[in-house]
Amino acid sequence: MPSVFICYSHKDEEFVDEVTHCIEFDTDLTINIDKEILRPGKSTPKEIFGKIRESEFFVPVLSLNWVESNWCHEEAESAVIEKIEKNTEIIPILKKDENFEEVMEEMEEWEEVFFEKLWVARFDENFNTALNNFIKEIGKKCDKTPKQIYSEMESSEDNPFRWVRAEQFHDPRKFRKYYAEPELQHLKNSRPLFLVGGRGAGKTMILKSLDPSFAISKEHAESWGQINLPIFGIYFKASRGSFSPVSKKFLDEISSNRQIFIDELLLRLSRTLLEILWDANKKDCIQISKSEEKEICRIFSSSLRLPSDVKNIDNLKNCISEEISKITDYVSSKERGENPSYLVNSLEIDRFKKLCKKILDELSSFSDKSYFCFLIDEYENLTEIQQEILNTLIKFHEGGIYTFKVASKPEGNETLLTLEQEEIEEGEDFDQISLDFNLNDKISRREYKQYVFRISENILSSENFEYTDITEILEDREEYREKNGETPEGLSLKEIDEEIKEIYNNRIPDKKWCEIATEKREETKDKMWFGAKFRLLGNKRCRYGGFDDFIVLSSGIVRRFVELCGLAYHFSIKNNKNIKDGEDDITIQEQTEAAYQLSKLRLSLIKKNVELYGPYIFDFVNDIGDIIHEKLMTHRSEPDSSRFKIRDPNKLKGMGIEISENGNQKEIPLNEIFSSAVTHSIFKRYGGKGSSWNKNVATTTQEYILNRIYAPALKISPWARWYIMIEPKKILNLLKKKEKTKRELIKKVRPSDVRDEEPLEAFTGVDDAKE
Amino acid sequence: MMQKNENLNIHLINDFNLKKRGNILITSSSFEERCLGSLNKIDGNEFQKAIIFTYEEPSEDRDKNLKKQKQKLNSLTQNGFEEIFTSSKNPLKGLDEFAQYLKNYSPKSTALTIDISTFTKRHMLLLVKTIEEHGFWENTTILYTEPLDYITNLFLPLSMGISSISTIPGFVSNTPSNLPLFLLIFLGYEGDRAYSLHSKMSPNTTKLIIPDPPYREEWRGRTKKMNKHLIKILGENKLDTAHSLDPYQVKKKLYELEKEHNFDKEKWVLSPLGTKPQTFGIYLFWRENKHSFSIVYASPLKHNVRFYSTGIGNTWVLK
Repeated sequence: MPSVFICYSHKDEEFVDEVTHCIEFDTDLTINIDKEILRPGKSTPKEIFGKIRESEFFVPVLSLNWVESNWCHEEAESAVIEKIEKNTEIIPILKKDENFEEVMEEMEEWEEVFFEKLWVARFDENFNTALNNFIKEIGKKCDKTPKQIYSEMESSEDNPFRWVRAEQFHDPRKFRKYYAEPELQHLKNSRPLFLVGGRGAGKTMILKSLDPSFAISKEHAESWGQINLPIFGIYFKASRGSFSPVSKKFLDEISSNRQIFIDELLLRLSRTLLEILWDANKKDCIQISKSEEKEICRIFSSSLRLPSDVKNIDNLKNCISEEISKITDYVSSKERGENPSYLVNSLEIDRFKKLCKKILDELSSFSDKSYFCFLIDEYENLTEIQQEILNTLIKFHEGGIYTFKVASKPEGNETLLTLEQEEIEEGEDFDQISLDFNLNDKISRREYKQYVFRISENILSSENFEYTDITEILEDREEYREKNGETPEGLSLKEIDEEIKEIYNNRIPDKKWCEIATEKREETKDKMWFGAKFRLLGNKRCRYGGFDDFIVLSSGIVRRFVELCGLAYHFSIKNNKNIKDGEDDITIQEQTEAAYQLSKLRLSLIKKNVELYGPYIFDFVNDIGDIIHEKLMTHRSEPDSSRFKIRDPNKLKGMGIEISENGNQKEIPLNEIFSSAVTHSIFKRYGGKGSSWNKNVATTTQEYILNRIYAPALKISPWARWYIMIEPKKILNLLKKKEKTKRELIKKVRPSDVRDEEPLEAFTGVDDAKE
Repeated sequence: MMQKNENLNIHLINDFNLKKRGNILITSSSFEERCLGSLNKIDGNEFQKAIIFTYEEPSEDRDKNLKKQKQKLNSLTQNGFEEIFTSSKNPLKGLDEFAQYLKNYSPKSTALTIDISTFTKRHMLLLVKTIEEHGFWENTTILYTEPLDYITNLFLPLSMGISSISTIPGFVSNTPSNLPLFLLIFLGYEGDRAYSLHSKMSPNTTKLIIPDPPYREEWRGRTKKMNKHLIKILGENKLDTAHSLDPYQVKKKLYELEKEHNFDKEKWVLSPLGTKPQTFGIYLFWRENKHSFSIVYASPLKHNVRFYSTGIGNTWVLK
């Protein structure tokens, strides 16, 4: 994202806030602005001039106050140097309510410097026109935004990696070709299973693979009877828009209304079951005779206590739909404060169980071993009461009748209680698999690599690529290094060794590098290699290339890996490469560009796509990124961090920040904000005590790992070896944009303030970067 | 601006005599000037009573307009007006009070006139649904005033961020949950909202509807430009148009789409980010296909008030 440095007098702060607020929310621009700097006694010139150097645009907010500010002049002088050396673009803004002639008269030599673009953003004339012009001007100098590039990639017919979502596969045959089955222990057995993973982890694909049509297609069979799979999948997506929304007030009256929700959910499950059975009959996957059809109608009618005599399946469908409509109408009238009447069906879990059993017994297409497997997608969209109902179904499932495979985002559970307020337990009542592979665990990392390898193999072979081995197509960074004796960034191996030695010698001054054992030296080199490289690179881009690098950057999320490949391929095609016929491979440069573009895009989407808390989480991630970056550049023994540990995380519940929602202020507890970040895979809860997808489990410390895809944009290392410790109070201050706290945290990671309690040998991270 | 001699099923208010049409006048307060649009054009008509919905969210401009509205309502009504407080965040608030008022009147002998110009789309849907459920549909007149212009530009949206995505109460489908999801978005000037909605819903198929013709010819292309990222991802072939002002043509378009995307084969989810008349058109379609689709609403995190409408354009009688 292009970055803009705003140079202004603090007396004009109100206007600047207004303008930057407008720009920030909509555009992809990074605004560099530091109000603290301009207050007397708090200047940090190094930081300011560093930011000016980093920015592509320098924007002085011209006014009489600006003219009088010596500090503003110093910043502008620095910018002029950058303009000469680096071609930094200067675009002045004239503040509203200023007199243009008066300001120009006072500008003296600056008028000449800014003359070229003085007409662009005249806020003294019309705010909106000025804003429009300003953004247009910035746009002229910018390359395509990451969003534009991503859009091009996704819409390109030639890009094999554009198929990133399960919903894109309309044709089960195509889906079968692309799909790679993960090695999941409990997927096809009769025990209820929770599949937990963030967006892009592949949950929907896995559930869809249990769909009867997929199974039949996979086995090249013609009907259900020909395949040996006992599970008959019933896919049920609890998408937004599926259920009546309910207010807290309505939920508070839950005791008398609870039955409504049970009725609604059981009716919807039944309706979907019926739909799938009848659809399978139409496609000849199963056969339902006329007499069986009649019996099904009778079974459903009696089990669901439907009011009228149902003659046929279409009639039955309408009847169930009608019952569902009565409920939604009742709920909406009740929400309006009216007193509607509704005769509840009073359905019970047991009746539903019996319904399933009778259907299985009745239909000759099902064997004695067959059972229904309800594939519930987007569990996190269900309300607490709906989850209780589902949990009850799970607790009282019977292996020979039905089971559940439930897909949910992390922390997507509102409750693990049943309707009887008993808790369902992992191991006892259900199994759980995390699809967000933990790259810090060797076994999990290996499984992920194998999984992703097979997926890319399927993609490439479906698209008739000459080489279907993704490792052959992606130029590898390590191989480059071995072949050329230097890194793709042009650093020699000797340089890096020297840097490692320097770090070590600074760290332990009384023990020199040459005095330590060879084995220890090699071990140290392994641990410090990336950190040393980043330090030598400074602000230059780190290069990423090869299957292993993409594995790390994807952070254990399948979709991220596919997107990285997609963008890398996109850039290779722009460079007229022929990857498909095997003539070329995707270079490290193209892969690096893909990594940075996807990183910037994913970072920018935090504030736009995360409901309610997006802008706050975005700011927090950037702040943590700055702190970790400082550590990377300066810490003597623990450079590579993208983990942070919170001491006493339960305190987060008692702390909150005020957020504005449509003009209204409300206080949000920090734990909710963190939970949202985990649900959206911005952070991942990492290892440690009490880690669980159940967000209600209390812990003494909680560690989070930042999604590694942000590493390029944040200029930190994606190899998350060490952590930084943060107190809840500091997190609160960061979210409240208290610059002082951020400075303190940055200072803390620098050498002079580090207590160095842990010796180099005793670092706590699993060896992340190596195989 | 569109003129009356176009092939429309709606009429300019100048052509319409409201004398026999109004017992109760219903309107809403707003920071947008056009909340006064209909009121200024129905002089000479007399209502028994008026109801004004006032949104709770603070706004100086709204308060200024409200003062003028109240003066106008006093002059238009025999028995003055009632003020109902509501919230753009929770439009259900106040609807119970409204429903209670309706119970004081007989649907057969009472005519309602509603100016929907400055209700939020969500609120408008709930309001007309309430009115219909209480039996007042046949004798209801719907008025809508166009803005003269939008103080916006092609780079900045009317709103920012996403606060939540939820179904509008009562507008929930009863179709099976295994059907592939068909997302139909009526596009407006809020590209971020549409983009986020699409991203969150993960539909199997999407259709994007652009209002056409635009209220003013010089606005042509704005909607497309403000939604360029979503259009780019999905492809131009996912674009379609629906009339910006005539809700009956919108209903017709929806029926055409239903032939292609059958309710029995796809789970419809509709999002009204377009014009208010289009949203009313969606309601017309809803009442003939109840519970065949859901209507979802993406609440923005913050409205960019500065970039809303300005001025008072034509006033139309939509029903």
